[in-house]
Amino acid sequence: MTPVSIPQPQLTQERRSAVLTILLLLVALLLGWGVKTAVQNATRPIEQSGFTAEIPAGWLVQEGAGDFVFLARNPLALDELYRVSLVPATGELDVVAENRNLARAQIDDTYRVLTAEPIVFAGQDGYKVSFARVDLDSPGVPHVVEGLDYYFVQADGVMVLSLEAHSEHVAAALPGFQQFAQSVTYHSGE
Amino acid sequence: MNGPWRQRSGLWQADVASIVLLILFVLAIFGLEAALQPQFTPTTLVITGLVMALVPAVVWLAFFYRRDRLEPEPKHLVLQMVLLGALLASAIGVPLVDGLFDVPGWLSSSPAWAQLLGGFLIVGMTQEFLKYAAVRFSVYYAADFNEAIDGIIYTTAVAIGYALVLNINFVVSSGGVELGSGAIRMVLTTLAQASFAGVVGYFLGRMKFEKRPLWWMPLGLTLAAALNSLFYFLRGNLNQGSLGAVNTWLGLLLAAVLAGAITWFLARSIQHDLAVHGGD
Repeated sequence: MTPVSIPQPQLTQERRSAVLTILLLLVALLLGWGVKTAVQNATRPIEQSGFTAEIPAGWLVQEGAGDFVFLARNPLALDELYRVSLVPATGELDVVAENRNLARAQIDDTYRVLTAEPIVFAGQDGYKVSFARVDLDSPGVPHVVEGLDYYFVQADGVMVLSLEAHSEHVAAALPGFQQFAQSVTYHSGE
Repeated sequence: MNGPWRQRSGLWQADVASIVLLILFVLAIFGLEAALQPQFTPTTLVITGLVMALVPAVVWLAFFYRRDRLEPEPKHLVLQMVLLGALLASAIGVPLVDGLFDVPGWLSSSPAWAQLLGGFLIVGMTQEFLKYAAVRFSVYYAADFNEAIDGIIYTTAVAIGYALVLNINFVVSSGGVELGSGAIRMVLTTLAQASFAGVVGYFLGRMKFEKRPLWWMPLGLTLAAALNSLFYFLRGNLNQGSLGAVNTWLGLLLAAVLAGAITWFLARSIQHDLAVHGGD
C-alpha cells in the first residue's frame, strides 16, 4: 500500500468527519442499550384462575390443569419458564415441599433437591427449594435444568412459584423470576 | 463501440453465471442433506460451515470485483480487506452484538418497533461502522484507492469477510440442522452484507474525491444501518414464523428484493462512474 499526500484542509475535514461518525456510533449504541433495557424489562399482565401476575412481554403462556395453574415460557430459550401451582394442602411448608419433592423424584429419577430452607420474600414467610434435573425430552444433547420453588401459604392451600432454566442460565434468570414472584397475587374463590 | 458492448455483454453473462452457480449451490445442499442426512462432530460441523460460507462469499466477491473494470483493485489488497472484515467480525462485531448486547436473546421476540430500532441502533450501526472503519483506517489513503467506486469495492470486500464469519457461526450454532434453508440464508446474508457495505463505500468514495459536508459520512452510515435493520426485520420472519408460513416466505422474498435492489443501485452507480471516466 503506497500512501498518497493529501492537502491539509481536506485531511482536517476528513478527520472531523471520522470523529463525527465515531460519535454517531457511540450515541447509537447508548440508545440501543436503552432499547434493550426497555424490552427486557417490559412485562404484560396475565390473569388465570384467580392469579394475576406480570410476565415478560414476549413470553408464551400455557394454561394448566389440576394443581398446576399456568406456566410462562421464554420463546427464545424454551427450557426457561415460570410455573404457578396451587397445592391443596395445609400444614407446615417444609412438609408440603418434602411431599412434593418425593412425588417428583418418583416420576423423574434424575430429580435432585439441592437446598431447602425457610425464607422471607417480599415480607412474606415462605419456603425455598432449589433443585436440578436432567432434561431428556428436548432435542439435542441432554442437559441439566436447575430450578427454584417458592412456597407460600394461601387461603386455599399452598402457592408454589417455580423457576426452571438451563443450569448455565439459571443465575441470569433469577432476577427476572424474583420480579415475577413479587407480582403474583391470588384472590381465593375465583 | 464494439469493445465496451462486448465487455458489458461479458459482464452480464458472468453475472448470470454467478446467480446460476448460487442456485445450484443451494440445490446441491438441499440434495446432499436429503440424501446423506449427515450427523456432525464438532470438527466436521466447522468444516461444513466453512465450506458452505465460502461458496457464496467467493461468488459475491467476484460479482462485485468484476464491476471495477476501469482500473481493477489489486487482488491481494481486496483479499486483505476480506480478511480484515472477518477479523473485525470475530474480534469486535460478534462479541459486541451477540455478547455484550445479547441481541439473539431478546431482539427477535420483541415488538416490531423494537426489532427495527434495536436492529438499527445496535446491529446495523455496529456492522456498518466496522466495515466503514476497516476501509477508512487502512486503504483510504493508499494510492490504489484512486476512484470513487473503489470505496464500494473495498467495503464490499470487507463485508464479505464479515458475512463469512456470520455464516460459519450460523452453521455451527445451529448444529448443522436444516442445511438447505441455511444455504439460502447464507447466500442472502452475504449479498445483503455486501450491498449495505456498498452504500457505506459509495459515501466513503464520494467523501474522498468530492467536496462533501461533515454530515455526509454519518448520513451514509445511518442509511446503510437502516437498510441493514430493515433487511433483518424482513428476513427475521423466516425464523420466527410468527406471521404464518406464507408471510414467512414473503418476508424472505422482500429481504431478497431489498438486497437485490441495493446491489442494482450500486452496479448502476459504478456503471455511471465508469462511463464518466471513460470506461464505456
